[in-house]
Amino acid sequence: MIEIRNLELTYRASHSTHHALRGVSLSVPRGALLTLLGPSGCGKTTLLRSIAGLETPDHGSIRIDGETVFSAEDGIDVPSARRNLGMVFQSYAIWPHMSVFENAAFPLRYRSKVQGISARGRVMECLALVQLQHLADRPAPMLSGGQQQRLALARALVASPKVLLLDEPLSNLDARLREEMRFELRRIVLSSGVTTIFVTHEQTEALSMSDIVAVMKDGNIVQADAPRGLYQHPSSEFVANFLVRSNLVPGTVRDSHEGQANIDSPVGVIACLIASPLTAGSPVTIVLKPESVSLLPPAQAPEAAVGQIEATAFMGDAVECAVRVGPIVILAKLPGDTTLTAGDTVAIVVAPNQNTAFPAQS
Amino acid sequence: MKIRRRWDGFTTASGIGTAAMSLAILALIGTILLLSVNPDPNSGLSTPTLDNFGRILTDPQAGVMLGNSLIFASVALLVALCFGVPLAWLVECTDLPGKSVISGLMLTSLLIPSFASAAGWLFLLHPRIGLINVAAKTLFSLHDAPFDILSLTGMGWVEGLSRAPIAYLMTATAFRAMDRSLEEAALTAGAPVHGVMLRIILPLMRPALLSCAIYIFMIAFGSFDVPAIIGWGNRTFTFSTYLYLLTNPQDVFPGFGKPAALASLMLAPALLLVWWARRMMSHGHRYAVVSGKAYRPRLIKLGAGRLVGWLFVGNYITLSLVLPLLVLVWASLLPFLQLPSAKAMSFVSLNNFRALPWDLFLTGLQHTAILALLTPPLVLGFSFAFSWIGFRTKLPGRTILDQIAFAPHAIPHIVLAMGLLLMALYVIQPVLPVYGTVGLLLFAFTIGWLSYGTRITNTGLLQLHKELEEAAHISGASTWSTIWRVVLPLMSRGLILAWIYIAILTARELTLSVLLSTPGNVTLPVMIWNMWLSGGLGKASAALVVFLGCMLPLMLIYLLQSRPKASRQKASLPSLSPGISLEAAG
Ligand SMILES: Nc1ncnc2c1ncn2[C@@H]1O[C@H](COP(=O)(O)OP(=O)(O)O)[C@@H](O)[C@H]1O
Ligand SMILES: [Mg+2]
Repeated sequence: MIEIRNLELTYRASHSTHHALRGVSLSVPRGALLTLLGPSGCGKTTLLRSIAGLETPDHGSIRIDGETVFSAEDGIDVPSARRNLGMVFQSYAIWPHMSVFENAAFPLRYRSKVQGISARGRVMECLALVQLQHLADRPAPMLSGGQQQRLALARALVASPKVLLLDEPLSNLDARLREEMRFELRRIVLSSGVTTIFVTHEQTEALSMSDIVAVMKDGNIVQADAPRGLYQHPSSEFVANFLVRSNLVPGTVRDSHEGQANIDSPVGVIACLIASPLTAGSPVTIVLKPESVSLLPPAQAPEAAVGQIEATAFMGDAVECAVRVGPIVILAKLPGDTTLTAGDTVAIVVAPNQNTAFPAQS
Repeated sequence: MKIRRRWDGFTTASGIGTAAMSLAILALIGTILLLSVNPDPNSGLSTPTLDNFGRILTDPQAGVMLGNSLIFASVALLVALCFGVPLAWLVECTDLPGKSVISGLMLTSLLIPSFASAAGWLFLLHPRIGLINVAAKTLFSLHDAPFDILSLTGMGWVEGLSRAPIAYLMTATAFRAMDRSLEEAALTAGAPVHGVMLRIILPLMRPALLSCAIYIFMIAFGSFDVPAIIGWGNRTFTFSTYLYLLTNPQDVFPGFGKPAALASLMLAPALLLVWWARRMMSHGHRYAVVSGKAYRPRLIKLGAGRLVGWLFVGNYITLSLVLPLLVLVWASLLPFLQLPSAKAMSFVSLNNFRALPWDLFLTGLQHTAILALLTPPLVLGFSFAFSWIGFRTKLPGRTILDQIAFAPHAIPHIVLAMGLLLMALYVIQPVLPVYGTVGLLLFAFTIGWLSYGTRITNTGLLQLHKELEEAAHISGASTWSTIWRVVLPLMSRGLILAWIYIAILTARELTLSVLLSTPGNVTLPVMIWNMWLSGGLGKASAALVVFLGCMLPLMLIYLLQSRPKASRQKASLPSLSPGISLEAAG
């Protein structure tokens, strides 16, 4: 549905230049919800705005539904107004001089053949989809943040666009509302069947909402996969560590089989997944997920490495412990009913094949 | 490989419009410079010489004029600051009651044409006929009149009174933008109020005060109205009136070389000063922290000082509005000026009004009305185009366009008018007979208010979040529709106020039209000045009163529109006043 080839974009200000997109290629199947995930400043908004035609890349091409809307090489640049997209901006960009209804109805005036009564019906339908139908006549500035976000969504969907672009739509909401809206948003997007690109910098949001997650770093897409695959088989240390805040543990390869290796580390021998073949003896970094670590009384695991708990943090459903093992400190995530406290001596057991090891970067 | 996005219709039109306007402004400056190095423009171009400059520099009258202008402008600056700055402080930093009334009154005195108040002050303080002088002489049996409005100090006094609202508006904005917590920190640390004033407020305000001072000094230096009304009669010339005299000498055929040289000599320092003031203002803003929070600064409690505060306000309003306007009405009702008495009352009649040349008056009114109707949309249209190119395109050289649009701000109106006159006579006239048409005046006014207009539209566009427009584009709207349905409605409040303000400025403008006017395009202010010169002061006063009456509806609409709306607490005054045009120049 969306095919992006080798997109490059450099921002040029008077004193500085910034290479914001560095050869991005990406394809999104029809009807899928793809999430662009990455730390802030990595170029997600720039990519989204390029798809929308609000930025002009220096190289590359973009095809939507078989039609080339942008190609630097062929000199094609279809203006935003004719790309047939819906977009929710990070600021929502609700027009304050119009009512809720007028905001939502705006795209119909230019995009759609439906006019008059049926247009009114379509607008109310979309407002109902986001549960704002009872506020149709209210001036737009009198909406709360969550309502504005939903109105922006209704406006983006009203003209049945080919593609829906969402730029961190949940980031301005408070934590509680954000969790509710996560599922709500997915419901709305699925029910309208529109191909969607969703931008976020939050791992949980990306993993819980999308069909595909594309992880971005410094203007590149480093990996794109279904959430489960991404979680289990990250292709780089960056992806693994960005998805779950993890421990980076140095080690050396003891032996390796297909897609798997045993690694010598300060925490003992750990069975890890590997993304690329590794030779015995080569140095690696293990991205060790806190939830793969369990802490036992030393007597129960005589083989395991022993450490001392330095601090604990109670999180309600879990307890996080910082454990010192020799020169390093490991973060472990334990069930909430744990009774361990700082100063306890524990054995560290790591579940096999849950973590991934990558060649150490020199 | 670089690709170029095709420009949409609106942007193309803006590009062409701004380019044409910029060329016109440059051509105008160019014409002045060209003629200044030409010994005799009537016989075509010859090799450039510096003769004209030599003639100006050796002209003793020019030296006197320069001294006059400096004294006049300095006095005016002093008077304007002495009234404007304390008034701004009272309104912004103290708990003085009735602030909206005060700002309304300040706006009113901003709108009153200064040739009206100059006429009023002449009737009050003329050494022979001035009412106050006459009264003082009889009361204290003095031999000489105690006041002389014909002196440079007298003229500076009148100019300063009418420029005080600009000082008020510019410093009020600065007071508002100032980080008041610094001041409060000093007060809580036990510093006395006057200490805070000296050590905290003044240094913080310095960039604002300095650029305000430069701006007012330049306006006063190039001012025409007050020297024309008061100084012309006894041949006390300042820069603008002298330039007018040179361009329009009564006896010989005008030689434009000398005035062009004088104007060129003025251009460089004027452009430099304005550029400096503009830079300073933007620096000032960098460290005057403007917090967007709805934080209400603690106001200084005046206590019994409120009375003093109100006396000060009342004093200013009496001097700038009440006295001169009252005496003007009084003079218009009398055959000759005299102190109010039973005998004087018996002379009161509407004879002056009946004697007005009404058909001429109506012609002038017609021209003025056409100009007041057409100038604002032209100015704002061009201004919007300039801002659009500056902020919504990546056109190379767009910052230069902005500088060009700002240039008319630095050029005294009399110089602008002279440039246009020369251009009309020597460049355009052979192709298109524009000299003496209302169209030429329209063009002059459009250039004259362009820098003010671009400040308004720049601020307006800068305050609009770009995504509001982008959302409309994505929705399928063209650039035209986006501007019509999203941009203009959101900027409308500022635009409407600017529209009315430009209409008022146009209706009362004397300087720009005086050099360009012929019987075919005479405006009301020019007509009134001609009546004034021809000696019938009573009749001229009557004309002035009728003129002010015609302006009244416009002024009322402006005052009503400029009241801050309850829903949006942000007062609208700052973005409107001409003084602020410097301030918004980011
Ligand atoms: N208009 C611009 N001019 C110059 N640099 C920009 C501009 N917009 C974004 N950038 C820079 O480009 C990089 C990518 O920005 P963006 O796409 O907004 O990142 P993200 O949305 O992932 O946080 C950032 O470093 C940002 O500073
Ligand atoms: Mg972003």
